[in-house]
Amino acid sequence: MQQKISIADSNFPSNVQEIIRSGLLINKKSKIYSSIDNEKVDSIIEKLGIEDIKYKLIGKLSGGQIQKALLARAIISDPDILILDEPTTALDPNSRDFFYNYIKELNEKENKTIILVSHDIGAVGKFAKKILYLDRVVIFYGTFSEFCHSSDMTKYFGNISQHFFCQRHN
Amino acid sequence: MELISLLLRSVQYEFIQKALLSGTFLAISSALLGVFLALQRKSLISDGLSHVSFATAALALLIGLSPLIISLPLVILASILINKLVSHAHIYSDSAIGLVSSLSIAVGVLIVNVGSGFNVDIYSYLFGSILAISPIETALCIAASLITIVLIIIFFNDLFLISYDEDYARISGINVIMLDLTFSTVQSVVIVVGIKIVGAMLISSLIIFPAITSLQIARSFKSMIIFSVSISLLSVIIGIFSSFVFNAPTGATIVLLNGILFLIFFILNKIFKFK
Repeated sequence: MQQKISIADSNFPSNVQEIIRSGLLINKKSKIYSSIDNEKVDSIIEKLGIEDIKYKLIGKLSGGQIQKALLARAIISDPDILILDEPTTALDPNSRDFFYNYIKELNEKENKTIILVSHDIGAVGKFAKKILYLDRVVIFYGTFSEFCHSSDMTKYFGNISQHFFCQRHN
Repeated sequence: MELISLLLRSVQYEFIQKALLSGTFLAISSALLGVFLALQRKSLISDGLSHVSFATAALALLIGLSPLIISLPLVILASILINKLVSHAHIYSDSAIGLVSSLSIAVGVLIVNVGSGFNVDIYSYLFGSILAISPIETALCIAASLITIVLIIIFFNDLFLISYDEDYARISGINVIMLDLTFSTVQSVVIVVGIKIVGAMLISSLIIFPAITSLQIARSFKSMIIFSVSISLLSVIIGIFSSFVFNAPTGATIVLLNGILFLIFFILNKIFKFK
């Protein structure tokens, strides 16, 4: 499960490698890390392309770097389902694109189920297979293209907002 | 040369050997405790508990029982009480510690007043007397420290995760409540055996200082642990020798050394930006 960025204590004396490794404690029988565990950490770090921050203090990273480190911690235990709550709120556009592309890859290549909570319908729509729109009650459930072509949604959001979400400005 | 021969002579004394032995173990266990307590913002609890152990030591002297028999259960109880006050009575943790701490000092002072005959004994609990500890106290200090060290090694990775991200630790299947309870019990034991060595007024600094000093320079959790233990050992061992050489109170000398080390690393970090 992914945590929000605000948990990062800027003084915490731990580097990225140690934080990512702690994700392995889920369902771990032995309380001590093995060399295989360290190899797993290295391979995740390589996959996410964050070798440069491996030995950096977690509190000294930028929002995007912390998010990558925490994503690595979440996926290192190889979960079947990833639940992400507003994972991109503190990210700049480049990091956000990287993030969405990466979890899309996780979904398609490694068959991970991803449940992502977001306010950013436009960005999420491009990647999500199914959208569940909640506003106290279920407003919509279906694919993004169904969402964009639904006349009910046009009524609910108004023409302009729906076009904006679906980026059909022309 | 004269100093070296004095030091060489000093290690031949049995009381210095006992002091070094118990001091070494206490230095390691309190430094390890301190790292996790400081990172969980709980280091002030040790200060509160040391005041409680002062009151319980006074009570033991009044009724003529061994302070350890009285202090251990009462201090463990106090640590649970502080935790409960914070989690159930919705009192801020610093206020909860303040309540328990000042209340026990008050009780301690009243007991000392009633039994005015043991003022000298209580002084050794307030400010410690590492050079005058008995073989049993040495053995107890070593045993308590060893248990602490072993428990921290076993649960090291769990404690790390709880300190960084308690919610994540919980969903990782770590029994946070159980570990918290174990940890505060161990903390109470170390404080009770430690007050005879550095004193109720000063034991918490043995827990807090090494962690905060190494926080100035540590660039990983592993280095944080290594620095804390080294700094703690350095201050305790040099403290014992220099208090012997200068005929100064040992507990206070150790704490002063810790203060100097903190200042040095604090300034070095400001200049060289280790972090």
